[in-house]
Amino acid sequence: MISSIDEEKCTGCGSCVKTCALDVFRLDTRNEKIAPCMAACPARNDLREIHYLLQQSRLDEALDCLKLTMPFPALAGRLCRRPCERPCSRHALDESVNIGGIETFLGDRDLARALSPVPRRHIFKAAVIGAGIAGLSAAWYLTKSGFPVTVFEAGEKAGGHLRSDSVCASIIDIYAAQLQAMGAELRLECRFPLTGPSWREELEDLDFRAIVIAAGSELKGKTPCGLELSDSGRIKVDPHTFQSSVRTVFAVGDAALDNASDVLSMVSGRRAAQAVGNILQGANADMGMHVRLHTVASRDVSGMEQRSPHPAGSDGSLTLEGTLEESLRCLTCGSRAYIAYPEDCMTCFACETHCPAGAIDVDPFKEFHPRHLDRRFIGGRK
Amino acid sequence: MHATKLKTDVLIIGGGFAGLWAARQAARHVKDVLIVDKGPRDWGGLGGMSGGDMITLHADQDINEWMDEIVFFNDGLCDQLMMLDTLRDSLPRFHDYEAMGHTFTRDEKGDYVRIPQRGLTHVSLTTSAPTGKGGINMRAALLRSMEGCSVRRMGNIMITAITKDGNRVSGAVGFFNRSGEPVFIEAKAVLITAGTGGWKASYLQNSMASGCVELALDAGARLRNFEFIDNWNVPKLFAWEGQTVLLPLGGRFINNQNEEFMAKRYSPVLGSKTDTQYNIRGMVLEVRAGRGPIVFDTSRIPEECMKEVTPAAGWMKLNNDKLKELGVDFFKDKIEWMPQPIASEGGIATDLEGATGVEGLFAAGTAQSLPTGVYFGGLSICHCATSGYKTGEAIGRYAAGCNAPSFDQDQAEELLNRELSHLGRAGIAPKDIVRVTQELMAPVDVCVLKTDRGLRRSLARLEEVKHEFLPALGAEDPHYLCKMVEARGMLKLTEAYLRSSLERTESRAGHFRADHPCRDEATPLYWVEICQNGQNMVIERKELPMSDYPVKPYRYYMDQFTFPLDEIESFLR
Amino acid sequence: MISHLDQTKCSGCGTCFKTCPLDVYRLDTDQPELSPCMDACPAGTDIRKVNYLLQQARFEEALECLHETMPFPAVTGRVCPHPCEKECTRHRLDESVNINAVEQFLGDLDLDTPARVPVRRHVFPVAVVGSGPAGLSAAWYLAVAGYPVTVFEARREPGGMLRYGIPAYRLPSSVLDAYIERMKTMGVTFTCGVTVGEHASVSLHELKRRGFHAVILAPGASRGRTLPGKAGSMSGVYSALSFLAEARSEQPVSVEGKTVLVIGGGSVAADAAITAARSGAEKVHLVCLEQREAMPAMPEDIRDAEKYGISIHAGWGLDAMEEHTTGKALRFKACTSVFDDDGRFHPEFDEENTLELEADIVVAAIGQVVDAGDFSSELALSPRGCIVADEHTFATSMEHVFAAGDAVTGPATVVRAIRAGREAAVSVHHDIIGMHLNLNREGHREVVAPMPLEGLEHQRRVNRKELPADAPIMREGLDMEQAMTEVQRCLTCGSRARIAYGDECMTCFFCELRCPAGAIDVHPYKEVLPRTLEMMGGSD
Repeated sequence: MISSIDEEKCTGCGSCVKTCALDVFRLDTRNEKIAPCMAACPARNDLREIHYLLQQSRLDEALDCLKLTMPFPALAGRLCRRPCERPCSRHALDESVNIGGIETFLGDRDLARALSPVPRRHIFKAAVIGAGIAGLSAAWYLTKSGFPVTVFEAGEKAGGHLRSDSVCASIIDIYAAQLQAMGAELRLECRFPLTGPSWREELEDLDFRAIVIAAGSELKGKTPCGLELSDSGRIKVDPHTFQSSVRTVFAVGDAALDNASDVLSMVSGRRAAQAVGNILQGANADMGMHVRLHTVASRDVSGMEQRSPHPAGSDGSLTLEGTLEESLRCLTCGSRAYIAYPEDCMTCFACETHCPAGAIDVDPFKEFHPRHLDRRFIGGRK
Repeated sequence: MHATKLKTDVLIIGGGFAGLWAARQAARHVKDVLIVDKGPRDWGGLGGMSGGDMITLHADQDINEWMDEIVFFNDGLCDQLMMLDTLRDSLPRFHDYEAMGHTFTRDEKGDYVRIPQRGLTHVSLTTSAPTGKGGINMRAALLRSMEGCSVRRMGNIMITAITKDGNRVSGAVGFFNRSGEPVFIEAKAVLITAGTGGWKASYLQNSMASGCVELALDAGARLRNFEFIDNWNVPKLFAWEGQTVLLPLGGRFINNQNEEFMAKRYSPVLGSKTDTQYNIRGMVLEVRAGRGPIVFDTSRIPEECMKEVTPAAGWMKLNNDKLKELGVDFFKDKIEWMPQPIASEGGIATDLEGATGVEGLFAAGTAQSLPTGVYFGGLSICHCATSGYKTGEAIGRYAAGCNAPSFDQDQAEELLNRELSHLGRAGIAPKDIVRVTQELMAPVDVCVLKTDRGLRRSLARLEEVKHEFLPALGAEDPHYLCKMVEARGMLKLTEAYLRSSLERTESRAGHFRADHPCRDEATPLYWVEICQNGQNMVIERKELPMSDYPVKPYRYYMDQFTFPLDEIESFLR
Repeated sequence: MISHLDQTKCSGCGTCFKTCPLDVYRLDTDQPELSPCMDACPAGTDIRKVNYLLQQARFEEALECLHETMPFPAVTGRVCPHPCEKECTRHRLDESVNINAVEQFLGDLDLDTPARVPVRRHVFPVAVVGSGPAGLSAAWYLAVAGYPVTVFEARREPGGMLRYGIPAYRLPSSVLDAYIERMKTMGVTFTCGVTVGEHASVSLHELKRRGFHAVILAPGASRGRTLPGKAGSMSGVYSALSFLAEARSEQPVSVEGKTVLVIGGGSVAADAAITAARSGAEKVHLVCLEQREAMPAMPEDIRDAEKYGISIHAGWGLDAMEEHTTGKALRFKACTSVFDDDGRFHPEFDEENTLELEADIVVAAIGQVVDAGDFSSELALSPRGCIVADEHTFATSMEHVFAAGDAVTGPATVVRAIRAGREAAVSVHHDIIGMHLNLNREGHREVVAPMPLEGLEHQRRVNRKELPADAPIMREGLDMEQAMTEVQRCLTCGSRARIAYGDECMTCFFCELRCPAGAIDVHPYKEVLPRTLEMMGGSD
């Protein structure tokens, strides 16, 4: 009968969860310390939780968790350099988990979602200039929070520089449609004269209270009226909130960042959206945005079983089966196992023998009595 | 959900100074008095956050001289009978405070420190000790004095409606604002001492959101004086209190040419030592003429007075220390100031004993309306004590002499469900409504140099917001439910302000119309009053009973100013 | 605008939460470390969380939390000796929080609302023997878990010590009956007038035959110890428990106009003495071995006894008792010490120093014994006759049989018995579904470091109102306003404050000024609002 898990020894690798045929165990993935992959992830995706949810086949919840920090996983999966995979603990054991492949799979599932209008929570409107991925990201999070949002895009379609790739272009079209289904307004072929003298007044006249400039690199060197520039000629912003020198104006993506990856561009949009929400409520722009994170040390993988990655398609993609299998390779670094359904234990010892940390104790007796002085049954339970 | 049912003889809504004074007195007449407040039980309202200075007519001062000056200061628009009562009762209440253990400042000779107000000769406030902690001490003294008497107090209850038994009040309904649990209160008489409300301008510490406006109107009471507001002059970025002391000691407002513009152009008699509403008008005209920004200059305050005005305790000291850490020195830097609509000076119309005209419903403190847009420091502290005391007596005697009304539980539940049905609903955030009201008030042609156009523009926008967003308000949790009720009240308050301002087609006291810049001498003096008909506000004029008043206006404070009419007219274009 | 709260400095006192009129703050009371009161509570109640929920008027949640460990707060709120209050941080500051009165308030509030009927989740019935606090608690938690439960009770009515040992003026029958009715609604069956044991009407074997899959024995320690020698069998001499039990019956012992002498220094002695006084005794003496300060009775019991004019003679042991025509003559010798150096009961006397008293009725409140004689052949018993049960799992020497309460520990408190009943119910559940008994039990938790008192405001404690001596109960419970006021005094030791609604802040600084730990930082710059002159273009 399962007796105990030594919390001090448990590394949260999930071997017990994955081994037990009777589903006795669960993981608690809440930990202030983040896994090495999460520390490397520019979007700070909660990869540990996402993979754990997938391990339990909770696909929609895994996707919801991913979307909290990454608005367009179908793009990120394809575009991201995957800095998460290098520090993955499995890297030292066999091969890192195919985190990018998993994200792409979830992203494709995301594209199939049908979205409905988000209930309006705010009176004041926000404007996003530019429907590249940074702008779309900002628009996505603002809309999700219940703000009325209008995205102004100079081109015929959304997507910015990503339109040059046909796969990305079609993905962006789907995301743009989802955004509109949620209630955001997308005004195409609408060039906003950011360098003109009265662009802010024009937007104020249209009753926009906050502006997110996501106009890309083309602004470089040309100052939108009233904004300070950085040394490299882009709009100068606060590194956390992406607030410009004007309180209600934010700048994201290439308009503000030098050599930003696509993922970082999307992250900047998310953070700016959060900061916009803060200032429109009258709080400081960075309210709720400073969280200290500690890394978990990469685990000692000695004693663990090797397991090759699930074969991916030629483009690196995974099937549903492949995604679920691959998620099982994740060692959910930093979580803690606990005994969830002990009464189902049938004393097979598989968890204890598989636990690389020696944290599990299974008592050899099926039912335990403190004393055996007198085993007379009151009739016995036969 | 568990419903809390309470029963009392006298229910007091609002546990600030007026409510506490009233409770003390009412408790002498009835068995049980219950105070409820939407904030913490012991916070003592805004008085607990003030400097504790009090307008007091001391024995060596002449009430007639004061009344003459006050009527002059208010340009004739003064409830003289109420003002007389307030002045007469100020000294007894002052002594009561001392008996409770509160300390008023004494100088080296042992005399009270009295600071004349607004360039007036006679009217002065008496300061509390120590500077910055007066309000806290007053609150503590009042709470101490409540021990042992049959007054019960409960905090974190938001009252949303007053219940009626026919034409008389029967109690109130509300909810605990951190749990959303319903509260039903049966009472023989109800006293509103919840203030009137304001625009959460982050000055005067936690200035009000909304107090009595909705409650009173829905109960059938009449409101008055809503065209008058506390449009207070404040530093742009941070809080600072004590203007009413700094100005008489030599503080001045100067423009970007270092001119004391009030003395130079608009206020030849008083300079900056005047009521805030006038200084603000000057500021606006200066900015319009390109001579902004306006800063507050302390360099003329004598060295020996600096100790008195430098914050020594409480939040003022902490504030000052932090500003210094940020590199801001109030007394050395050029600190930009800004007008900000803080609070309404309107209130519920009552008789001299606080009776509203709705049977069993009384009002006291800042929920009544005494000042008319021009204000001297310490008046609220004074009036809260005097009216609290007096109305407490009146309501206590009333409740002692009547039977309990019948409390209609169904009516009460229906009233409450209208609020509670919002709980958990996704909808418009209450804070957004708050910010809308702030925006509606801020334009210069709405809050300083009012014009018909500006007022109507804000009113039109208000109506839009009312129709589009009020029905869609959401409250994710009980905290937001409370804020939602407040936000609605603020919208109503703002509407009352706009409509009343439109009604008064003249300029007088704190109300200035750029399109009617003079006093209307042809019409007898009137108040602008409001009552409710269904969902609509009805605005009426009520003539002042001048024949009952001792002072017939013959001179006017506003005549001391020389605001150029042509420049003012430019605001109309 | 509120900028930052340093949780490493925060002591959880809740001052910010209780000060801010704009409701910016919340507390997190789910922390690994216990507050001192929680550590002292024998039931393991999360007093910190209950109080915090009540501070917010979240009545239902407060009750839910309380019920996790305490099924009968209206009972314990009246009878518990509240060891929590001695450890309360406020005890060091001004006066301990009136945790007991707040518990009574919640319990009475609970009884005002209809009971919730639990969903039946299990097939296997369980028997509980004894309906004192341990048995009732066990039955309660089994019922809540969805087990069909039958309670066997020897006496006519359920309640055990709660009905027959504790006087009605401390615990009115109506409160107890309300809980019994509740439990019936929850599906618990009470079978009264039935004893269980090898030679009783129902044996353990019979229970098995009837289909019960587990048994919890909670027969209590309801036999009062008698005086040694011939004194014990004199007429007019009673054990305190029989005296108290009969006081609740149709034929109480008549004390009208008589002199009653109670021997004993604990709460039971005080109960007996006060019962005699309330029943019309002309004179009541209370004589005990312990010195006044060392009397085991609660201080409020001793105060109550004095209120009734009972003469307390502390530090005397019975030497001899003789029956005369005019009544009994008792001689006491001075007791110089009660316990020896090892803490064992070993009273020493000074024979020269004596006290003579007379009485018509003598009541001996000198302890209780377990009456588990009927299980002696089936279960392991301790030398003092208690049922031997594992201290963590409450398992006895027989499979599927558990024991809890005074029958295991010897006479102890109601609250300990309630805890034991709950744990035994957990064991039964483990046993029936086939789980290791020791698994998923509450582990050890550390206690928070003592909270510094500097900067905390003194606040007067709200006490229950004392009623006149002839009132049916001694004290009135707190009403809503009193309870809500008193619970604000709780410092929720060890919780952590957080900024919950930061955008409401209006920069008044009061939270920072009043925070005793200096954990709060308010930035002096206000919220940015629309500004008149700025709108005119006239600002920097």
